[in-house]
Amino acid sequence: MASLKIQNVCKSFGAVDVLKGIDLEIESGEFLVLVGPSGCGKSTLLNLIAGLETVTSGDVLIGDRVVNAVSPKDRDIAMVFQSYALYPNMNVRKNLSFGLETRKVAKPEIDATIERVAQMLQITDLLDRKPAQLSGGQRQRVAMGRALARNPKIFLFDEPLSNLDAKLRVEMRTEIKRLHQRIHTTIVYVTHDQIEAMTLADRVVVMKQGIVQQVGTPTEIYDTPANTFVASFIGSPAMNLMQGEIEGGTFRGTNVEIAGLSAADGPVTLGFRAEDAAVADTSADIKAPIYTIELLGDATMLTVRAGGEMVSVKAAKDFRAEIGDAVSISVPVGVCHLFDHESGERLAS
Amino acid sequence: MPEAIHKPPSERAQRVFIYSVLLLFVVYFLAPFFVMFITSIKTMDEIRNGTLIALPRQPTLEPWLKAWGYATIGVTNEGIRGFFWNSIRMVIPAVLISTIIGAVNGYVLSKWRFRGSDTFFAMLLLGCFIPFQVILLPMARTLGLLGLSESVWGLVLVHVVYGLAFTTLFFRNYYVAVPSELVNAARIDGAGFFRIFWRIMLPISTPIFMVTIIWQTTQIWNDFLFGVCFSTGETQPITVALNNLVNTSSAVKEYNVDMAAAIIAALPTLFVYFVAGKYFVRGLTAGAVKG
Repeated sequence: MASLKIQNVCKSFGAVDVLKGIDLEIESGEFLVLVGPSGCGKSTLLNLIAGLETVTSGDVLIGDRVVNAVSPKDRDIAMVFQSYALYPNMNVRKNLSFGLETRKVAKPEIDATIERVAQMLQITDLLDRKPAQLSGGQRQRVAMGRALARNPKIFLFDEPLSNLDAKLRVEMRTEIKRLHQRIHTTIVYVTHDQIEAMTLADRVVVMKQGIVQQVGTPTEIYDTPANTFVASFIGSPAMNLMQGEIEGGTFRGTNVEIAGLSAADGPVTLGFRAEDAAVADTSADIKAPIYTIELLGDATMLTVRAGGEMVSVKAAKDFRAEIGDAVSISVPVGVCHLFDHESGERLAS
Repeated sequence: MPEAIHKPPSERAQRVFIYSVLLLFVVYFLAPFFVMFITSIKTMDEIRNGTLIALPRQPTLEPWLKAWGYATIGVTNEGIRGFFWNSIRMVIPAVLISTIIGAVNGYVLSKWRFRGSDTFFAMLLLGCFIPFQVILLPMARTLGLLGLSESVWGLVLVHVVYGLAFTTLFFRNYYVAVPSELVNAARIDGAGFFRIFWRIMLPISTPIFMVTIIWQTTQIWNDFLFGVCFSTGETQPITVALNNLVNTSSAVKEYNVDMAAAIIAALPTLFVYFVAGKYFVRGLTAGAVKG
């Protein structure tokens, strides 16, 4: 176990700046998730931590040691790759022991470690198989086993679940979470899936175009997004964002009028989450014809056009209406988030 | 795959057609070899009196023994035996060295790129397009300076240098398709440059090794130009000796001995195709590369 510090790290490939000054502190034993759209630099950051790439400027510290010039094998880290990267010519046992053999661990100790790891991940039956004879989920387990066998200071996961089907992904997600609760090793986990980020992380780092947008617990990120990018990236469906103007404490836009806001006059972006609004008979803040209606089972999802955008609202599971019917929606002032209409930054409320 | 029991007639007709055409080509390609072979086991009398494709009435191994052991080549009377071993002694080291260096080159150029490695590779590729004749004089001078002219090792050097462009190309293109994550995983597992090559890359390289070995063996064994230019007398490879055997003027043109010698000269490449070709197909179908 070790803490990890990223200090003003920049990385460029030729003329392309992939990371533009990243600062992060990860506590020992913490589960940190890096999330963002493709090309945001999250995998590059992970490779820098692993030592597979070198920083252009800035420092990476594992524990208190600057590791900028330390090769991957001497950083005492283990990594699980998206494609699993199992050695195709070796059986599962060899895959697990390769890293230990390279480090000249004694044979009895290797055997004991493999036994322990295989039991923990329930892959004992698979030890003599080749990777080609395993299913996706089994390969995923072996890849995790290979990392576990080494008992490193820090685990790095690079989108480990994105090659699995939906059901298996949820299963493995739970398993990774339980694994962390059991071994309490520092984990840095990269994903583009915001649900994985929300469910797994102690803290989430949202990244975009090589810049950290927000760092916080899943609740903080969800409840107080720092800007419109985070608001629209985290949550399913994304936070509704409407364009309009505030005048005397009232937000006005197409089909929408919300009173009682304490903010300066001027153009603004107003956001709220689908589950925070409700279909109402009275006190209609949004009045618009229904654009789509989706039955989700546990709820009914409506979309309407308001404030120049599509707005989703979660209604009761037995709510029924036709497309085109007029609907009234109440949006309590307390659930509204205000953002600068140009920069997208959150406005102090 | 189990054969479908009820095939529609049109499909059957197609099959018959395809196999007929294939059979025709087989006959076309094997006919010369057939003539060579039956000629090589006829006596000279039979050759003079019979037709080209007539089967031998009294088959004899005498022409083979003569070609191998005591035919006149140039000024010696020892057959092609010595030259055959010359070729073997040239081909084995030349193929092994060029293949191994090619494998390491390909590994570096695909997995350990450095500044300018693509340019380096492009320049190396130019080597594939340089005609043999262009380098004859500079190579002769180089071999002279190295003290290797007119020796088997000189020929080995020429073939290694000339083969590197091809072997590097083969291995580089094969390794490019191997996911780099595999190398990264091994690096994190603590393996270094050669350990990764030895334990991860080489075990999945059987198919490309077979391709390269077939290619290099055929190229080097069949080479005539370098052999005739950079060797003399006792160090000549079999291709040159075969030429000299056929062209050595004597009273009678011994077609049967010529044919036997030609077949002997072709046997090693045929052998490589039959043996390695099998492994080649097996390696491809094993599908071992997919991680």
